[in-house]
Amino acid sequence: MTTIKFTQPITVDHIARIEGKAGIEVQIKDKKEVEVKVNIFEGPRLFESIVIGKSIEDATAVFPRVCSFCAAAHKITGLLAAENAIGLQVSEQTTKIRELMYIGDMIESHALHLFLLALPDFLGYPDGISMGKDHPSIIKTALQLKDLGAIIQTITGSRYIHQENALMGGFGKIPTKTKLNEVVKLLHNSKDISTVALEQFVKYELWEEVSSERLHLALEPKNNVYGIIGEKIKATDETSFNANEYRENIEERVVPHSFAKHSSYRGKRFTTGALSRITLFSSLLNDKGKELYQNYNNFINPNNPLSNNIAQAIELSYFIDRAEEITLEILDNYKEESRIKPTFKEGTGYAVTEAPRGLLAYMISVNKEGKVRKADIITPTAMFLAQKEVDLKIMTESLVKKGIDNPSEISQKLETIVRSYDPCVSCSVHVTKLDR
Amino acid sequence: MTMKTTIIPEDQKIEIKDEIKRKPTIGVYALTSCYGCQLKIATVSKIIEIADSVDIESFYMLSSASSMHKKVDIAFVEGSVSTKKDLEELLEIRKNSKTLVGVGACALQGGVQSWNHGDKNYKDLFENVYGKSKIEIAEAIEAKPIEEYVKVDFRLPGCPPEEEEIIYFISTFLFGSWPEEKDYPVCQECRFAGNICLLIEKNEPCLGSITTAGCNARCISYNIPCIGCRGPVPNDVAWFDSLAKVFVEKGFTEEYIRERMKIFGSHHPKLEELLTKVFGREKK
Repeated sequence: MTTIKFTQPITVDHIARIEGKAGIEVQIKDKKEVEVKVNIFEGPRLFESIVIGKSIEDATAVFPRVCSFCAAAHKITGLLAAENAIGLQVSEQTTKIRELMYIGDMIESHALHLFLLALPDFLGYPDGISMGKDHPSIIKTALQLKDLGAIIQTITGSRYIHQENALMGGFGKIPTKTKLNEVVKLLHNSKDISTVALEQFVKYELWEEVSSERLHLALEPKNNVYGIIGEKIKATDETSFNANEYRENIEERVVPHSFAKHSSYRGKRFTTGALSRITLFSSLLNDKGKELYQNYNNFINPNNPLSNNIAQAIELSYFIDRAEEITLEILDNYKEESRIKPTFKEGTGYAVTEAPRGLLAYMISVNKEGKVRKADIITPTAMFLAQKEVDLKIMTESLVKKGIDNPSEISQKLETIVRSYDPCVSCSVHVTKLDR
Repeated sequence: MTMKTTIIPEDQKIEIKDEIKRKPTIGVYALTSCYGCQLKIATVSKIIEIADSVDIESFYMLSSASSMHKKVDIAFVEGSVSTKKDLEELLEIRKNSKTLVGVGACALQGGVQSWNHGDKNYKDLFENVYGKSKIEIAEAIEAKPIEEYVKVDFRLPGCPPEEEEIIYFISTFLFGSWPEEKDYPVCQECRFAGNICLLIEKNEPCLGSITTAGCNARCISYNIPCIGCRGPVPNDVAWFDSLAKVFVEKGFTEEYIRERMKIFGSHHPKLEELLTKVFGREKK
């Protein structure tokens, strides 16, 4: 039996290359009992509290500020919940432009995560900038794809961080046909670089030590087209629930080492994100997406969090095709329309969408003057945190068993696993009211 | 600080020291925020060129070689102080930097997380989200702008800041000069952009007249009234009182006017005083 030399806990004070502030703390007792905590010390921003009593329109302008990487996701999910609360139906064109903006966010976020945050781990660099000095073509592709996502969000949302143009009832100004045509061209020209990330990640093995069975949750996309909007959440244990029942199905609890809460689905730990989406709904991808999924099937193990990078890379390619399709649909039926100004009445609205990192749930309750009475947000990172801690524990145990006792080697591996989830710590620290 | 261009006689020219010739060292840090300012800095179109002309010592969002304990010439800090740990980090960053630039609405105005500042008790807001459960990892404190704790040398506003302005700031430092703050309102740029006035002509609650310019009135160009994300105009010329009077004429309630101005202006030292002139009392 190997002896473990270190007695001090292994700590990573501040995991870099993720969005927000978190650390890892590993305790090894009696040379075998491992305890791992993902400490989340990003300060709380109390979004559900601060919007209470405020005008719902101002509140929906504040929600994207939860997170910069998924600002469009928060904006659109907040708008959908707010509109559901007052029974406001938007036009088909509005829904399509929102979807396009959301996919722009997906492309930008995936490109940034895959190339700048995750890939340096595998190529052995501290960051994308130094990686770019040795691999200029990779960084060029990264920035080109990031720009593509940013441009889509800018022409639809007015800018790519905190898009003010998306409002309740529609848009301040809809994108012009000229701009949409430019986007089509850009998307078309990006197709040959859309799989560069995938080709990079499949050079590396998935670490088998970190595999363990897990439950996945993902949103069933509307119209059977792989995507981000839908009404029903499905789980890999064959159960399902509707978006407006999310509060009865996903429970959050406060843990002492984190400003982000931990979630469970009907009492069970679960995960969400690109890997969950592709595990549950790969059959709804387009032909090219399905082909990539088949070709790289060896790299997609639903029980291995590192497969999330591969799933994101397939999605990156798929969403470029999907964005082109939607833009062409918008152009085919283009209408000069102005937004429907909301009329307020009392009500509660729910919305669940697929953000880049997984399920994002909003509940907003308003009074008859259109002031927020109650708000609830559950972010993907808050949903998968408990599972992530288990993965880190399993990984550490297996490394310890192998006699690996170098804290920096262990922590490097753990950080890579943390990054594969693409955690969004800023997002995760706002969470829900306890008195349900 | 402003630099005047003068022609220096030959015999008075000073030789530029090596200290000045070397690449400036830069650190990019975040306190509590959405990480949008870091994301914006990381994604400006000239980031590769910028990275070549400076030495980036720390950039937490991008590099695992980052550390708060390294000395830097210029520190860019986003985020509000929202925990005791944020404060410790801020003090450490200030200690290790020659020049500190506050970046974005959270660092400069406390951010949207300060929306209820002065209205609601922080403990109640906190307990509304976390209940009475104890979170031991760090002590949460009410969100405040970094200037409440440290000296801020330059202010780069925006939620998030504009690309041009980020490049302008970094460029001035590279030239051995310093950036100048914009001290005029969004309205000025809005007129140049050729927009109609959403406040006067459309009765929309536009905050352009009290908000720092620099965005080229983007939102108004999209028919959206300004939400004030670049913060109140500096040098005490954010006339909350005049605007509040117009808002009252347009039919907005006192409660709504206060809330709207507080999304990005709640920590402004003159806000309450100026609103009192209009509404005749400290608070509703």
